[in-house]
Amino acid sequence: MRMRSSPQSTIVLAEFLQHRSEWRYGYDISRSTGLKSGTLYPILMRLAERGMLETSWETVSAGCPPRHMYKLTQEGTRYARAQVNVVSVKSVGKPALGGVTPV
Amino acid sequence: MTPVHRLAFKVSETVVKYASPGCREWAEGLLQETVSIESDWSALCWALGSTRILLDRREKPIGSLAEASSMTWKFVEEQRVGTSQWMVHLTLALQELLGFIGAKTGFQRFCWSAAMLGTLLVLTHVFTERRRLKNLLHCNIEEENFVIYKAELERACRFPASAQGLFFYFGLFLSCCGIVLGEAPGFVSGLLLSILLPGVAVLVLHRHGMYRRRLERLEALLAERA
Repeated sequence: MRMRSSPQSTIVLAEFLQHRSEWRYGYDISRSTGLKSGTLYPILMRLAERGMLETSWETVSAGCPPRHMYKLTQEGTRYARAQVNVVSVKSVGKPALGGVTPV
Repeated sequence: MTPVHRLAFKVSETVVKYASPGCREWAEGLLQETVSIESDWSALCWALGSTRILLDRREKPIGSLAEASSMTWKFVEEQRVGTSQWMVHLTLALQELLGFIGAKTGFQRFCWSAAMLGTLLVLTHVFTERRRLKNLLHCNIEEENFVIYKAELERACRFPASAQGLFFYFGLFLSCCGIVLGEAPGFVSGLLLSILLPGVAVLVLHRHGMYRRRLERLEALLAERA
């Protein structure tokens, strides 16, 4: 079943592609993409449901509660590249996604 | 922790408390981010944004193909039990017939006729589906259960846009409008319909969303296995 693609989800996918092998925290993604938590997390949930996003809990330091982290799966990376390429082809004459280039 | 940060934390904690089972882990993730954000007002904006999760009512996602297999026959049985509503529709059809017979104006007769036609369309679908599910439950199938579950979920997701689905929802719409307008034409019927129809639409959309998410999760599990 194809995932409904929106400009916001493409921005999130491009952000993940820029740091493909790293685990990212939700707030960091929010700051990089400019998306609020109410917009970002439904996108992350949809990606995780389709097996495109891995999630994990990480303890940052002793005494601090663990934080939720996210990383694209192989399937997610493939999908992200395809989505970001589609957007790059569509936006002729201007940088895609404010200058973000797919990895 | 400053008072603003404490408020942000309280808001996030409330979201975790009232989040649906499928969203709880995400709500907890949002809560821990609230703690990690240094700026008080950013933390509060983050927490207020996270309340959107409360609108997302979803069940816990399927964990494995084995779990999906065990859910298959429960799902088929639930669908079959759902078709027991034929008794309700038959009773409605009788009421509509009485309404038609007792109608005082041509408009009321027209409304009751439309309602009877609508109920007939709904009953046709209900009996067809009931027979199909009964046959499915009794036949000896060799495929793995989750294949059947996937097929049933695909069918359920396609239903609203299928010819059968359109007839069913059109019948439901005719039936609702016919009964309401036949009983109480005017302002009251308009008010009732403006509450009833959107209410039914919300329920249908919610159920469709639930089936779509289950199907997506099942497809993801199958892709992992492959």
